[in-house]
Amino acid sequence: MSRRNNKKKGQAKILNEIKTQLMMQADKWGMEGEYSPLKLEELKLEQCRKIKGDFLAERANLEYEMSVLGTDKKEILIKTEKLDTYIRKTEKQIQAYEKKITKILDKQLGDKNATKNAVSKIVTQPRISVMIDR
Amino acid sequence: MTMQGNISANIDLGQSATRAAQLRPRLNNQQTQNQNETERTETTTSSTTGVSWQGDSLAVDNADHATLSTLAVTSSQPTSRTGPVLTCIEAYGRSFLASRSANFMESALQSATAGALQTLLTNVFGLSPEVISSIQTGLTAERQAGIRSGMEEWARTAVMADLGLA
Repeated sequence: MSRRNNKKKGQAKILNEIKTQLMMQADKWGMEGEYSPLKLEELKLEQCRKIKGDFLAERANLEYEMSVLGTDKKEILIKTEKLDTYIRKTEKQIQAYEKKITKILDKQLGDKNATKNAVSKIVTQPRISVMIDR
Repeated sequence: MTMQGNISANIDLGQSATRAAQLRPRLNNQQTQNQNETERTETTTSSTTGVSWQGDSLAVDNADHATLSTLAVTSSQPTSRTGPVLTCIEAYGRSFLASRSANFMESALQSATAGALQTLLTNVFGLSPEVISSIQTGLTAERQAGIRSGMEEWARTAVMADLGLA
């Protein structure tokens, strides 16, 4: 258990280091502020959706293999089951990223009601005029 | 890995790179272990989806940390040397790229070199400031594209780690 935790900590440390270096380079090459915490979460969400797409494509591939090519059904069923687990995990992760993004956005907006009031004052309401011929 | 070529020169050889380099040996051991395990199990890759299987367990085609960390310590090498002008332009390009280094001394030195080479290119070889400017724009665009793809790879690896697949 502790070995797994250590591995995770190591991974997080390296990923953090790479992110820091990339962001430092981004700042130096005229991309200041392009990678805000919100943007990073959006990137993660996009990649998570892509991974889910890959998994779904693989499942379709396995189902095709099983139905048409008639390969070892037991092995394919095990693989499909594992894929389903990962698809569910990915869906949960997507939800977590979406939640995080909403949280960041809410934080940026501040008081929701005050923002709504301000927006309603700035934006003019569309009016419908009806001409009646007599 | 395609990304390596793009970002290899992006990353500075500053303090952070040294730290990343220190992390490498540990990863290399891990990688060797993983390689040995892979050799023992038969690996099959789906050509259509890019998802690979090691026996019954899943191994998704992703950027591994070891490869990503090596990006921090590799640097690009000049390729073509077809004439003095091209050589000078190549040297200017390298200096221009290195002038954005995180290391202050390195940055100052390379900025001075780039300035000298720019003067040489305009006064001796007769290159117009527009040409120099287009070289700078091209290099900057290339570097920015490298950083963007690097960020995407980073995000993918981070997601894989979150999913417990890395």
